[in-house]
Amino acid sequence: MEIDPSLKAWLDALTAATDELATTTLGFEGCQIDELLPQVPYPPPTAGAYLAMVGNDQTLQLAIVSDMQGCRLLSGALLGMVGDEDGLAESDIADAMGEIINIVAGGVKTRMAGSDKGFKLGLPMFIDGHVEPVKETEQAAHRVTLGSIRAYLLTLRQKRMV
Amino acid sequence: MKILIVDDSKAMRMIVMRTLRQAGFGDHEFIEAGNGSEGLQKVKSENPGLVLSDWNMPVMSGIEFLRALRAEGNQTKFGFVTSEGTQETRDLALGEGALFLVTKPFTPESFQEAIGAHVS
Repeated sequence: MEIDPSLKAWLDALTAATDELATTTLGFEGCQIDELLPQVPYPPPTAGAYLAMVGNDQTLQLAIVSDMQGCRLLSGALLGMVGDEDGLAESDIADAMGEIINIVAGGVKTRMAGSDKGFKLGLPMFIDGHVEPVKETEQAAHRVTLGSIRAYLLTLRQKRMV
Repeated sequence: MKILIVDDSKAMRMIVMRTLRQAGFGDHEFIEAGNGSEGLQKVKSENPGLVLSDWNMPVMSGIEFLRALRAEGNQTKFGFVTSEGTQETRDLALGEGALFLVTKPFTPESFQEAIGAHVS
């Protein structure tokens, strides 16, 4: 299954923005790409943060997904609570993961400003459970490693109707 | 000086306060609000010397918050701390009366550079 080059560009921007956050804020050496995937992996990751980017002619969903423990560790890294993550409530994790995808989406918007200046960022949401994209959805994903955390970076877009 | 931090994320408000301390602004008093509407009330009740606001928030966004303040004739020093880093956003912010825009992810140095001149 091939990935549309324009969607791959969004995925690459998402990965670059995640790498920047990992390096500057989360205390990791970077975001290591392990695999490029043409669709959301199966079995699907079970928790993660999603944010919509709404443009003039397309809408994308960006996501950072892992499992609940991965999200807990990412949240601890953001909050400077490495080693104390077990003290985080689920609401703290949802808040922190939402902020992670918000920051990363801002980086994506800046990196992709040349393609569509009209993009607006939605508000983030955290989902404890997996999302099943409908068949009309184009997908591209990177399986990545952040420190010891395995995660996926997802870009989802409705297929363009001809 | 009171510094009002406005962000719908409690995590981000905590990170902003931690970074302000790391940047050498720990002697100031920090107060918080969860969106622009709450921020507007806090400006009236607490009279902060500086507002640091997120851009994308529910209820009232950061730019709506700034416009509401200026519409009331309030000239409290105002800056954005946001993931929105495009030139278009920066131009809009400064055009509406913001003093600076710090892009997330940020560092203590980026806070010193942006805020230092505006904090007594």
